[in-house]
Amino acid sequence: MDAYHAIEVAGVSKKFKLFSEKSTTIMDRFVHPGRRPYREFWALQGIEFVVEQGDQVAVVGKNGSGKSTLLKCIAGILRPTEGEVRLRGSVSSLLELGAGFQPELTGRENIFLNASLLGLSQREVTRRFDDIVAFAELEQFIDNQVKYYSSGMYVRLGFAVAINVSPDILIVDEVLAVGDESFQHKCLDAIKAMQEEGVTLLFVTHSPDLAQKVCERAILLEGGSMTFDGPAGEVMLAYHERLREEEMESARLAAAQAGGDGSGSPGVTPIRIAGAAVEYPGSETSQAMMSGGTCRIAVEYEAAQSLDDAVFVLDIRNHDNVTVLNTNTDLLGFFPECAEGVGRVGFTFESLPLAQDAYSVSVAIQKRTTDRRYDAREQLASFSVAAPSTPFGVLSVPVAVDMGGRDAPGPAGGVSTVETVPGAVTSGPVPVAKAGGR
Amino acid sequence: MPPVRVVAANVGLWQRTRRLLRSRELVSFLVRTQVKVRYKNSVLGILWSMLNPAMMIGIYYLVFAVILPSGVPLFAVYLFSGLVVWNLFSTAIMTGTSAMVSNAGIVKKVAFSREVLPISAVGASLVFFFFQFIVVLIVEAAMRHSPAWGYVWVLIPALAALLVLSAALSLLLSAVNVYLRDVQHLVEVFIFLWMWLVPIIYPYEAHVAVFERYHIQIPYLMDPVVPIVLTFQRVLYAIVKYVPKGSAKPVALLPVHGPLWYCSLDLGALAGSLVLFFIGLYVFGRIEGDFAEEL
Repeated sequence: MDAYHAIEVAGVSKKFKLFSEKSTTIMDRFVHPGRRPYREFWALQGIEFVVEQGDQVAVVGKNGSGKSTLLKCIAGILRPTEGEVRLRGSVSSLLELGAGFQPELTGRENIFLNASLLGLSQREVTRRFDDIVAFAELEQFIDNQVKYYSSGMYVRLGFAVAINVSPDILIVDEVLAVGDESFQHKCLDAIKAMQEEGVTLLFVTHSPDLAQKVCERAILLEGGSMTFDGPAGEVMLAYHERLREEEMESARLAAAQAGGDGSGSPGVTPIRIAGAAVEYPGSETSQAMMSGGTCRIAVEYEAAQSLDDAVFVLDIRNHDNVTVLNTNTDLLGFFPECAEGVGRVGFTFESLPLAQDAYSVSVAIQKRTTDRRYDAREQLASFSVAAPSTPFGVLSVPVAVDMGGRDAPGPAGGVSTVETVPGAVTSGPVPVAKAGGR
Repeated sequence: MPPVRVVAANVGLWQRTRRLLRSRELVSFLVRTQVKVRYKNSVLGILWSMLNPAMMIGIYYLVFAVILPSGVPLFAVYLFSGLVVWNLFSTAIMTGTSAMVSNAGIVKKVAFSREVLPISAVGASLVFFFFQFIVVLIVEAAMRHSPAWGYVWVLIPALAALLVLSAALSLLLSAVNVYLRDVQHLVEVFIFLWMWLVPIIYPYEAHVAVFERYHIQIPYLMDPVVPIVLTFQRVLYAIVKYVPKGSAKPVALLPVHGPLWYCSLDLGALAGSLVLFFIGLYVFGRIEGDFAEEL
């Protein structure tokens, strides 16, 4: 079969009217003649892309960026205000929880209802009925009314119907987050199988792992506009970078609003953190460092008086907010003597073998041997790591693998080394800290 | 390469009609579901749809033959032969009007031709109508009252006109009801008022007399429901005139015309209803795009 455009989104915009007070009675119309007060809101603006038949595309973006609206427009549940969507082939969509069930009907009747709505004939539904029930693992409850189902059962049934009607195009909105792990695996396997059959997949996710596992391509939506369209890994990286920036911006704003309250008034605090910069010496770009490369984090401080008991603490976290590295100058055997005024403390990591992700840097200055904290700044800086191969987890280190026994040749002595340690908190390679003058 | 399906702000009437025609199986499925849901959790189940009208006829018989004698022979049969039609019309419109709102769960989550919801409400009313119709026939058989066999074929255009009219109004009202929820309450009142404008509880000739008394020149047959109701009464009741007790002058109950007169009126109603149906389809299509967000 020749590849063709399964989904063509041509200049799609969607306008919502946000009524200040929802009034839908005739009386209100009489009382307030003319137009009801409302604010126009463009949920989508000029979205334009094409999905080839058999491709898998992830749609990512923050809450309120228009992901769900876009999927609804493509699925045909909402109609775009401008532009049009052209679909080739049958479409099955699973948006939000429980793909349109009637609570009064039993699971059996709802399967028929849902599959009929998706365009299947009664004979086809009968033929696939057992598969659907088996997939949803609802054999015992299939003749119970759906209103007695748990939310997990709801989602399982919805997903089972959506993928068993053998659509040409499957549109899924963040539903994989529900359901236990084994069911999620089953769904992923089903999606993979459909992928091999050439089903076009479009789905919303917040999980970069899932996006990269399932899709080669991703689309980033921001404020209703499409800002990135490219390989899933790159787009996810950009997305997390964007999130990090925004978090830092709001943290900065909050700090500014607090007027230095959080860090104590300037007169009392003898030393405060002025900033932090991340550099990648030896790297061509300043955008991201290569995994295993050199990285230098310079913390800038401003001391109101000279101090010799300041301990600089560095905390590096990944996008899941898991600390991957936490160290301080005391641990490193470095005791900075800070003169009055501005100065910097630099941490250099000769080799930082982190997995591909966006990382944040939090800094604190503490008084040695006491609990007193001079200053602390959450997520002061951020940096991104790119890795040639993208294992999942925290680390990215070279791995050798073989099948031999104890006698077999190989660097690992026949035992394959574990590549990643998910969630592990490491003390990290020992950085060399240097304190410079101003 | 599979055919293209377009999702845009405006989809042409022709394409909408074609999509609707392709959804026939879905309509029949939805009709069956609605019939099933209605009698869910009841012991007698579908039997109620026959028991209910049978008991109604019994009560009417009791009231008009024993307590408040009207003089009209077999008044319960007269009343019911018009009422079955009206029941079909009113339940179709009332369930049809709220079809979008009551199926919000589906409308918001699945893409399909939403027109099937009000149309299947009409279909479900048709099923209940058949049960009532059978009850009327059984009662007539029990009373040894024969329908007008020569007029039976006119029921086909009459029923067709009634279904198209119900579907047209349901389409229109269900779409408007999404935005103005008052519609479903207003419809109840209007349907009740409308019933009194149609000769169901009083005979047709009394209907004509009232309009003439107030010098209202509007052709009362313009109301498309009137010829339909008259056709059913002509077939099922079949008594055109009767002689009241203590009087020699016969009183007319139904228009004295042949089946073709009835048929032509029904066809007129059907033509008008078809026009209304496409208007309904057009209006529905224009405002359907925002259903999912308004519900």
